[in-house]
Amino acid sequence: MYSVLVGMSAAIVLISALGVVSTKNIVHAAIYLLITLLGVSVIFLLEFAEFLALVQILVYAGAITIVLLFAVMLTRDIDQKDMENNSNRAWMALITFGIFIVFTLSIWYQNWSITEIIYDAPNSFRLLATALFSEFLVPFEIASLVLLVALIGAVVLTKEGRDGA
Amino acid sequence: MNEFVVLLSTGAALFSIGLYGVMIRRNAVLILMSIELMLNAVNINLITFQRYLYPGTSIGEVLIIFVITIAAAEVGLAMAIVLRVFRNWGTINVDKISEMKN
Amino acid sequence: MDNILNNSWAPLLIPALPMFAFLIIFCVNLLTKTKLVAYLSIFAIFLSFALVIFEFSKFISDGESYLSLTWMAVGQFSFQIGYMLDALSLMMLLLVTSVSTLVQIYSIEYMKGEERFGWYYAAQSIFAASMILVVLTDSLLLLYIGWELVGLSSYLLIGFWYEKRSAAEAAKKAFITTRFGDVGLLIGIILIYLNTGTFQIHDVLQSISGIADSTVTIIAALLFIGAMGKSAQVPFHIWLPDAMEGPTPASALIHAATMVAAGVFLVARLFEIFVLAESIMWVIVIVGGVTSILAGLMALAETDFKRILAYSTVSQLGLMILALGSSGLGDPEHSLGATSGVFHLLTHGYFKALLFLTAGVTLHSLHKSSATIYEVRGLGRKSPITAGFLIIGSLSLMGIPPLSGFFSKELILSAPLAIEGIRGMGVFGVALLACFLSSLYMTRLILVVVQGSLSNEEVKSHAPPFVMNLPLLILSTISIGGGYLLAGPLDIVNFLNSSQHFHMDYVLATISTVVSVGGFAIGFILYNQKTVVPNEVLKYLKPLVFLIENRFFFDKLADIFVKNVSLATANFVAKFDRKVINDIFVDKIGMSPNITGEILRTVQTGNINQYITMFSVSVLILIALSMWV
Repeated sequence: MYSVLVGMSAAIVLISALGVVSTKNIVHAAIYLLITLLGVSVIFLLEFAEFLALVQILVYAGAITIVLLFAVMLTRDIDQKDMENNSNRAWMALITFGIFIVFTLSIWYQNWSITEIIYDAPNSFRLLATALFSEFLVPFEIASLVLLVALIGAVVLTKEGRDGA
Repeated sequence: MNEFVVLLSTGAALFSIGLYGVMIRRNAVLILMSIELMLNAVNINLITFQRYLYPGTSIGEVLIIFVITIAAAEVGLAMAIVLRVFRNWGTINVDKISEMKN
Repeated sequence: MDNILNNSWAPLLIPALPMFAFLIIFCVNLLTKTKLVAYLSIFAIFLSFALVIFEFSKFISDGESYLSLTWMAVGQFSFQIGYMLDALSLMMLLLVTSVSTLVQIYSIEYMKGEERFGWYYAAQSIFAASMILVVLTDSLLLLYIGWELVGLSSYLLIGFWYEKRSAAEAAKKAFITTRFGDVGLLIGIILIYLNTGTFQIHDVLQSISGIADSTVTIIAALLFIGAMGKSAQVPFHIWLPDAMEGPTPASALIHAATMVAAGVFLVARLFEIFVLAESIMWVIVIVGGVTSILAGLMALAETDFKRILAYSTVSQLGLMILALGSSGLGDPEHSLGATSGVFHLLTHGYFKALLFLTAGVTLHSLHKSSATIYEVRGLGRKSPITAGFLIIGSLSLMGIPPLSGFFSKELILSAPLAIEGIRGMGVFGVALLACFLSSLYMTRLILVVVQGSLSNEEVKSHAPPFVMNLPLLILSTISIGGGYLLAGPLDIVNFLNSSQHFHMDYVLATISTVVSVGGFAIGFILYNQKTVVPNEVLKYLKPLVFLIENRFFFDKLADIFVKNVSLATANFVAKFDRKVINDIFVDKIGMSPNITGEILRTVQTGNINQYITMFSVSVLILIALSMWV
């Protein structure tokens, strides 16, 4: 059962990702992206990381997708033909495929020392919180700084009025 | 073929698809969407590694928190830039805005 | 004063004094017309002459002296500067310094009023310095340096009136023709160094017998080519007649007495090398013989006064070369070595200079720089003193006893007799023929020039000024009495080879006198104004006359050679250098940063897609490499 679920969610993720990169309609691409993100959230759930699944839906599917849609809407050309893709598709696909093969081969031919699966679900959230505020406190603070800077930067960049401001 | 390898391969495949999207798309926003795909692939990898190789710890989750945070910040800034570019050039087709002049 | 003179480096002053004179004149003012520069130059060369006399006396009492200083040493090679005062170099020094002094004194009057008076004396000084260097030095390298400097001075003096196109061309021709010879000399010297490890003539002559025969032959051949260039042997003789474009005193000094003698001197100095290469000795004999005959014939057909004398010089040089070659082929025990040629070199220097200076007086009174013998006729009545000098010089050249030429011709004719068998006889016959021809053309010269009556406009001209007369007087005295002195009391043969003496072979003397007088007589008959040559004789001689009048086509051959070989090669090399090496290699290599930049520039498109693509490709390659390497 478990394997089936894993396989299905992987399939959803990959198929919608393919949709993101190949559709001609931008809004459709955003929708496909949403579905991919939701699929990733399901994978998180299957890996017993419930908090992350929540966060994924809240932040990614919720905020980021909205921001992207805003950007899509605000930057439309009036007479916009559906965006043509780059003409060197075959070469790109080849390169990408090459990279994928490289990764996959390195995964398959590696000796992983996999330990037994422990269903330690109830404790994962507490573990996460503890780690975040003890071991990874400094990165945590810096991450908040980054968010602050991004906020200020976004405001500054889009300020109208003075040229080049 | 256990789930571990399947999930890792999924991450690899998602990464490659995101890479393909970055290489192929001409709209700046679509490129950003493809970058998001790549970041999500990284997240899948991280959680898989944590669950199968380091079960008692939460190291993968912590890193994923940070990745998501940075991704969010990055998307915000990137949008600001895209809007700015759109204001200046009237288009966000990367082929057309490839020169510093204009 | 005594200390300086007795010091062993005193002989180095002999070339240094004229060199200083040159430098001073050069720095002061080349365009000056004051006679001060002349006095300075004459003073320098006269001091050198005095030094030579002093060294002469030292030689008689103390024997040879030899000095070698190291100028610089690099590893195993050391560049030596020094002198070698043996009999041969002292004789040459005497000739060079004395004739130089006399010519420079003569030139005060001859070149009076010249624009570049100072430059003339500067050139004379540097010529004297370099010629002295050639005969004095003991190092082959310095000899070559002096050799080249002599060529340069000759170029400067021939082209002295360079505004005249013909003078500039003649100077070029002289320099380039002798250049061909100099190449041979240089390669010969290098080969000597490679085989003996030294440039010192002393050591070279001692170790030369240890070298393989074939190498010695090549070296001798190359050295002789150098001698041929400077001494105007066929086919390098073409520059000498044209060199008469220069001022007459310069011609007297350089192209009669000294520079052209350098080739003969070279053979004499390195005689031991030539003796070892018998085949080259035969080549020397043949070249000398051919030159003397051909030049004699060409002198018969020439009409320009100075050119007749030039061809005569070539012919006499041929005789000297012939004698040198013959004495090397003969029996070594009784051989006189180089003396046979060197004696004539000495006497020829003096009486040829006399002849040229006389010609100069004639031309100077006509205010011309060159003239045919028909234009200067009537000298006997116009200026008997000058005519007298001319006759003295000519008789000496013809070898009429008891003038100096007779004794030196004696030695020259005795050399081929040392060769055994029919070949010796053949060479002897050639030498006799050359003597006959020289009598013939000199008779023609004096008959045409001296005879003739004055036309109504010409007046008896003033006697030439004293400065011009004095050198002429001194030279005539030497031409008259010098031969007898050098054969008798101051035995030159003994001087140069201490074991031998001058023997007068009376049979030979009679033969040579007969030939000379016979030439004079036949010349008298032919060229007297009153005789007419019958037509049948003229018809037989027509092809020969044709050849002679075209100077045996040597000039044209040289022209063709230079145009089609030298210039063609030079053009080809120049074109190759420009098109291949420059355009293809140098330019492209210089452009390669540009080209590389152009290629790399295409990477920067500003296109995000492309950038990411390139990232991915690089990452792919790196990962693949790190995994499977």
